[in-house]
Amino acid sequence: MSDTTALTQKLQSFLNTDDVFEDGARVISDLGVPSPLFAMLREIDETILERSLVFASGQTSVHLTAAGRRLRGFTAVSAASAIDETIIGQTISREEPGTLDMAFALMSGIFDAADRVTVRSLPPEPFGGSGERGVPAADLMDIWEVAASDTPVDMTGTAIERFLKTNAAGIAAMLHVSGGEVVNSEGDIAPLEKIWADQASDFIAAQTALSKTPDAQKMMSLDGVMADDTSVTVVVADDDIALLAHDPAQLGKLHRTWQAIFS
Amino acid sequence: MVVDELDTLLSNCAECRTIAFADLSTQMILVTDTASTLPREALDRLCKQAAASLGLNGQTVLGEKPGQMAVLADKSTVNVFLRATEEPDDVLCCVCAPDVDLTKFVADATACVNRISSGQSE
Repeated sequence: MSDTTALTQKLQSFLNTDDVFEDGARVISDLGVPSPLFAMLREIDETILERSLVFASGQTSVHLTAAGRRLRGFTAVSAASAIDETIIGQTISREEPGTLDMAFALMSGIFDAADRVTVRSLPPEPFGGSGERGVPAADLMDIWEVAASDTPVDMTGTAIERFLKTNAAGIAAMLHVSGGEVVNSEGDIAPLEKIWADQASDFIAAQTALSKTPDAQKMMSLDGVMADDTSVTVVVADDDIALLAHDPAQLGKLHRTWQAIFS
Repeated sequence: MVVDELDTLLSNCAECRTIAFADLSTQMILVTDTASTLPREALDRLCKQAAASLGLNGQTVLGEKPGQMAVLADKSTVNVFLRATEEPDDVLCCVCAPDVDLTKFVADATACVNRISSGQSE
């Protein structure tokens, strides 16, 4: 193997003890961190010898062939959704932009909203001709503009800032108060400002007084308490307080994210 | 029997530790699951938390109208409080582990409290 950088990275990855496995498959994206598309392209970019990679989320999986840091093509898809499967068996090529579009539609269509994505690396399946090399993962990142918002969530900042960034897409409005000052806001914050001015202090004080662990960080959600049936969640972390308005259906994800970040 | 409903809900969720059925108008726990070992003081506090989260007598504690459900989470515990749809004072108080699947548990618990409140469990 002449690519010593890749070999070094691969050996380094063997030393990584932080990997999480689910049913024998390695978790590469959890609660959108990093974004599923970024995570999958990174796996392809780390694949030197030809392998069959199986990306999965829940009961849905995509089998593809990767080699030399390139995506060669897809070999199978198990998806209940209406995915265009004409890309299966075709070599991904810059000379045929349609294959790039279909590959993007397939991967983002299946995995963009996935809470968790896993990967298995299996022996390669027969695919295409030997001269059909596919497209480098690094080029796909450029072509598909997997940058900025699609790169891993910025893990700098306070826990509450990471929580807000991770859930930005599922929050209708947000008011972040630190040390008594509003430091950030998003969406239609007028109802949240009213809650902050009239109710939040009493609510937090009452809950703190009743808590077994008064000083602990907390997430408190009230379902459907706004006139339009949206829910309100209050996150308390030391001197930081965030008020969120969100669809009630987001509660499960907000809670999982909160546990992942604050526990 | 109400206690059977509570026991069934508890047995269907490995992450659920205690379930109690309460009357918010009197702020009293009426029934707990049979395996519950929570002392009376802890049950009283649970009931007060339900009142402080959902509100009493149509009171709005946070937002623009009274809540049907409240979730209070810290690192070690997730408390879930659920009103019955037709009887706002009938409330299920649940103590769960942090890794509870809220989406599934809330769906099961909502059906449970509505069955209890409407008398279907008797």
